[in-house]
Amino acid sequence: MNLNDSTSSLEMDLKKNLSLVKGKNKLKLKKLITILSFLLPALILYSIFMLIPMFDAVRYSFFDWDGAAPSMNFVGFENYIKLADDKIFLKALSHNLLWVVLSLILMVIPTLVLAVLISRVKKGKTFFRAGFYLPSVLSLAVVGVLWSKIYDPMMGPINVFLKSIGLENLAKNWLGEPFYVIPALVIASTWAFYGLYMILFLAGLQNINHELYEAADLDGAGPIRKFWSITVPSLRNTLNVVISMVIINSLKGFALIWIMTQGGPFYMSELVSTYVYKAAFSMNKVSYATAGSVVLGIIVIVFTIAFNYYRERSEN
Amino acid sequence: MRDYRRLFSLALTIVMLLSLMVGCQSPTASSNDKETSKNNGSKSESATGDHGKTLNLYIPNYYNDVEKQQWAKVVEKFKELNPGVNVNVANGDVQVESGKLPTLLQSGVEPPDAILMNAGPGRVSVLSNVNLIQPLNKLYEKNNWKDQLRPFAYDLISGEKNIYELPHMVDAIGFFYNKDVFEQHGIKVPTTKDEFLKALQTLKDKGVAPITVGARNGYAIGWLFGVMLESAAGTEKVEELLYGNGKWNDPEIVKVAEMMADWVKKGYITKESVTQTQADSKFRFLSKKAAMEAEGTYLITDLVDQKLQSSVNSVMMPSFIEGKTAKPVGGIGLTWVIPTKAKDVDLAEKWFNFIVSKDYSQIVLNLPDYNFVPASKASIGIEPAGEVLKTSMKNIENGSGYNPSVFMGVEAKEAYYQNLQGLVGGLTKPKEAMDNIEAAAEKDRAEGFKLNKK
Repeated sequence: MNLNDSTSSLEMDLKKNLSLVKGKNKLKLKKLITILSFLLPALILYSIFMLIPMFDAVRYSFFDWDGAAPSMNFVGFENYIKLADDKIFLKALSHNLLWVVLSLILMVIPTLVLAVLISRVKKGKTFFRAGFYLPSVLSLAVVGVLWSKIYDPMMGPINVFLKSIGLENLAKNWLGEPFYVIPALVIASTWAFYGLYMILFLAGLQNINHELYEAADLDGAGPIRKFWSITVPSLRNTLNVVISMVIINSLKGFALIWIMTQGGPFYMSELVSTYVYKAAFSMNKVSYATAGSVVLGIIVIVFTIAFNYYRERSEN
Repeated sequence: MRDYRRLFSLALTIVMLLSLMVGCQSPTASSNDKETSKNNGSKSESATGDHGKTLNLYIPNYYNDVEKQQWAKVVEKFKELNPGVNVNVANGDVQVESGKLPTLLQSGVEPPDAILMNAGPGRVSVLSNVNLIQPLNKLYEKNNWKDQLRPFAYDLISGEKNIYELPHMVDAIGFFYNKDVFEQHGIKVPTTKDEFLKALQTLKDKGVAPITVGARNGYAIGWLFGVMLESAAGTEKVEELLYGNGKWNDPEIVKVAEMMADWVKKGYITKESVTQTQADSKFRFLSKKAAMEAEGTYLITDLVDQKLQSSVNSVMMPSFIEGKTAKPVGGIGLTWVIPTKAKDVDLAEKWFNFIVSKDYSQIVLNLPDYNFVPASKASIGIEPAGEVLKTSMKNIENGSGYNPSVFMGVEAKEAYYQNLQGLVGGLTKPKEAMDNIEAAAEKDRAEGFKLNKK
């Protein structure tokens, strides 16, 4: 083999490798373009409608801005310091937490029980499923007006019924008394959302292996034992999703409260969302309101992460 | 096949982009508007001056059909006086407190040429402070609007360097009462403090709710408190509070708050009112389940609508101060402003000239169902066709008192509404409530809120 032959074979190898690399790169590029073409539409929309506003919200919270002035004054953490000293904001925050607790109590277990009961129905399952889901298709504005009438102290059906059976002492001004206003609003909110959670539970229930129940029957387990030992553990994932959704929805709830009480009377149903809305749009304190929203956003994120962390740890 | 796919994806992308663009357009740009402007655009190309132009007005939602018809007549008259000008009237929430108006203007998308909004320096300043509306000083000078307005109305809006509004009407808030309910229980229209309190007690004893109020709407509980304040503390005291160095926790003002709490306790104002909306309260009053309601002349269209003109009338709560006469409270009820980004200020100017003209006053006051006291001087000599409006116009012949809600800064107003709700609901004590309002007013003052009056 002479030198010329070996050089030409080396060149050929090199060319071959080069074209192979080029081909691979082209393939990679093509793959990248394909991936991007799938991702970009969603990413662009997500950036425009979520990421940029979120980033802007955080940015505005460090300024003193009224929402329309051409210039903004940088004030650092001043808005956050003011919030920490704002009694109404802190009250609103505590109402939010109470709302979460009440929502969890009223929403999760009763909805699960309802889903189990519906899944046991032999005839007319679709009817019950559709019937119970119905409130979820109503707009929150409609739900708000409807429940305002239900809670009406003079003409509302609850008080009319209580008075008609001689329980006048139990007839309250449900949206006007500090002890009842938030629970009353949570009940209305539960009514509006339980259909959605019920459907999630029903879907989860369909995935449970029926042999487990048969085995439990053979072991002589009763319905309550089966519920706690089979149904609940098998629905762990659905439960996690539902609990996360209940927490998030409770913290960011706005429409129903705005329609039914606007945070009143006397701040008794003020939530962070209603408070920041008033601050931003009625008082032109946009930066201050944004700081309030950021605080609420952080709480929602912390809640969600902490809950998911706890869930994963307990599963492991 | 591949070409088809490419073509299909291209078409899909275009459709997505188009829907995105359409979705991002202003919600106010309804198809009707577009059509109008399209038509107008083609007209204006061939026409000169105002011919073919469209004046875009944004006014409050109509209370009912009666008011809708009134506006139609007014617009018709304007068109008759300005041939070739089209008027596009859009309705919406014009209260600054709800946040919708500032949001509409902040968006800057298709702003109207003129807006009729709920008045008061506490409201107008929210928009003027952030340059959402434009100063009208030059227009005032050019058109001599100062001399065409009732002096009381002009004084209220001209205390600052810039004037941002043209008053549309003067508010006359007082009590409206059901004549037949009074007659049925042998109650005469009270003219003194004792007679008034006796009437409240008699109504209560007879099982009729003496006063109804929709306290869930802050402005409505503000009306009632304003009427009580005028009667028990007097115009000068309220003036001192709003324009001078008066404090909300002044013993005289606290006394009025105590009176309100006392009336709730005695059942003169039902405690349930705290969750009642203004609409619910009005329904209660008009269906004669309550004897009195603090309201403005806005109620007149409802009276006409429900054929109750002969059974309802307005009455002033007698002054509780020896030798004084209480006036209706209010100030400017509704006022016209021009957005900074308005497209046609000239047309807005034309409209404003029409509003202060005799033509306008004549057409509206001749309507038996008209419900406002015009702010123009031209309206003074004209006798309104409607009886209730006639009484209200007579009541404000000597000027009017103040409805504090419209003169407060943003912090104080929110505190005012919430604390008055608290008083009616028994959720706070009078002194505590007034302290809270004063604390909020102090915040406004610290932010530079100060009212000046000519």
